[in-house]
Amino acid sequence: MSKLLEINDLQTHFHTRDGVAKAVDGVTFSLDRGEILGLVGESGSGKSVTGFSILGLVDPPGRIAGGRIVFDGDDLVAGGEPMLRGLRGKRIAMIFQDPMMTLNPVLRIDTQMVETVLAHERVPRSEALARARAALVQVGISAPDERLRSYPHQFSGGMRQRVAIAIALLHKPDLIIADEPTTALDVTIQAQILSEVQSLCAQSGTALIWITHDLAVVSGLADRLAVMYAGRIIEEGPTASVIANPRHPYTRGLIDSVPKGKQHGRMLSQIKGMTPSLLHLPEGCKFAPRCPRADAACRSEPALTPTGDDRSIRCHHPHEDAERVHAP
Amino acid sequence: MLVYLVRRLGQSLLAIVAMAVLVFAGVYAIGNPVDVLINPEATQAEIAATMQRLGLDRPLYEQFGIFVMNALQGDLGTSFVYGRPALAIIMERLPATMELALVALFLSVAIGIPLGVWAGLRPDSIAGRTIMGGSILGFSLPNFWQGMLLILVFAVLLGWLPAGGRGETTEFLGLQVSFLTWDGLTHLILPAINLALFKMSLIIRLARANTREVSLQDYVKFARAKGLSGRRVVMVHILKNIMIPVVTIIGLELGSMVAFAIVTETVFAWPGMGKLLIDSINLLDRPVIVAYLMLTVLIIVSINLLVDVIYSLLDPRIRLSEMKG
Repeated sequence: MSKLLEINDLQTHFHTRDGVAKAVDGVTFSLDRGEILGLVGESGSGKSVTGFSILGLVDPPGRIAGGRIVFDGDDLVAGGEPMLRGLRGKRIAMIFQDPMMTLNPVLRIDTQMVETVLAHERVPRSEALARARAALVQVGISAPDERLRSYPHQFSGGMRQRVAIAIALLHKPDLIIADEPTTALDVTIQAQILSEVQSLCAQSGTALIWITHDLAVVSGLADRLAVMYAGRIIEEGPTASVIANPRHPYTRGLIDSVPKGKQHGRMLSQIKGMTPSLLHLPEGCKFAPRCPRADAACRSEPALTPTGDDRSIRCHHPHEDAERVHAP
Repeated sequence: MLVYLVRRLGQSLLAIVAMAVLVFAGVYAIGNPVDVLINPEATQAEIAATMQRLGLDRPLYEQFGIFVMNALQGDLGTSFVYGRPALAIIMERLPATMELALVALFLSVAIGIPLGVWAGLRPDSIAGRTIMGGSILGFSLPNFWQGMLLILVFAVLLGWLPAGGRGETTEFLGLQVSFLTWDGLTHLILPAINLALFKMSLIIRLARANTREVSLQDYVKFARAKGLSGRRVVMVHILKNIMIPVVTIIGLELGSMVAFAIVTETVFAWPGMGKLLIDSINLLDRPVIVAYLMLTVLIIVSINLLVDVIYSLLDPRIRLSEMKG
């Protein structure tokens, strides 16, 4: 069976007064139906821009400068706005980071849900309303009839995010792109939303791209992980394998900087230096200036290379494959 | 909602009372109208008699008391010049001014909002820049000069439209209006455009700035991510959000349009109440001035009240917080 989504050498550039910022520079990955991919990276690594590029929602001065995004056989970059509009909300839905900002403050919830149904299907308003109500029930909102007649400001952040998820689920999409949807929420609500999204996707066979900077959140959720740095994917593979055995020095640094138990009194390790400006990227490997393993070879940019065990790494000096070394 | 309305009504009444005191005291300070009105050769006794007849010999607070008592009964005094009730004289002129202001308001909204939204959605396009450049001319060129230029081009050079007056009027809901006859309409177009230009420029700039701000909001991106058509995103999601500040400004500006249509009325010889005010000030016709100002205050306060109600209908957040308070 063909892949649901294949992204090949995606280039999304922002033309600014100070030069061209290559927010996404050669991103390649693919996604099966029903698969959950965790797209991990720091702020400015290009993970959100990758998500918006799929839906063609990159705001000017940004634009897709090259590459292919093939969704279920259709090239979205070539297809352009008419094709994208038909897919948005219908087959590819998106959930945003800040639930306080994603719902229009002056429109009632029913208006915002019904219009989503009617944007893609010619059905009577009453039927659209019934579907909206069912979607609210599905995401665990009590008293849906009352909630439908409410305005967003009458909801808490967690409730608003549930409404946004309900809107994303209205057309039972093949793919949901979730852009840090739990970052702005309390930890307890975070866990609820996380498990709900997981079970809803499993029920309907929806594939999910979960964009986050939080490895802990995504490690319990995703089937696969893709770690981004400076607009590139630098390590990619099955979640358990990447977490247990990070091979790129950056991934290892990320995992080591997460506090664990039994570490009282010890300094938390951190990655030295700062994320480079996209306008002034170093030559060669973009991580080299911060990398403890960098040497002369790192002056040329490494390619994302498959390592045979369903993983890929973009590094000249990856860490040893611990599992293979210590395997009996 | 009711509590809110009652409280808002109370504030409006307070504003009217405060204005009454200011207006009365201010007009009193301008000078003694008898000096202007009476024959210069009149004797001291005749002057004193006239002052007594008009009630001008009494102290200010007494005059004010009489004014208030009469005003509460709908009597704003009798014109010194015309010898008829001041309110009746103004009301004869009011429909012409209201018609001019409302048509100008309609023009500025119907043209200003679409142009402003367009310029806001495409700020770097040639059309967007042209609209913004035009709007700067619209509110920086003096109003009277714009009016004279309009007359010069459309009435004198091209001869398409009449230069002044109100033209043929017909009765509509008991008022004399111009816009229902062809002749009246041709007379109305130029002054209405003249009065509208400044407000239109203001609305264009306001609509543009708000459109730019709103279109960057996440909820607009989310609306697009839901697969809505560009038309629906602009007409519903963006427009409803920018209408909140625009309605406020429209309300404020309608009041000032009615009150200060004076310049346009003078340039186009439009028989409205602005012209009447100028004449009355020249003659120190105190009751007419006071009545005019009080009526203007009443109109502005009423419009503001109306705007607040519309505002709360547009923005659900205001409705709720005010209801609690």
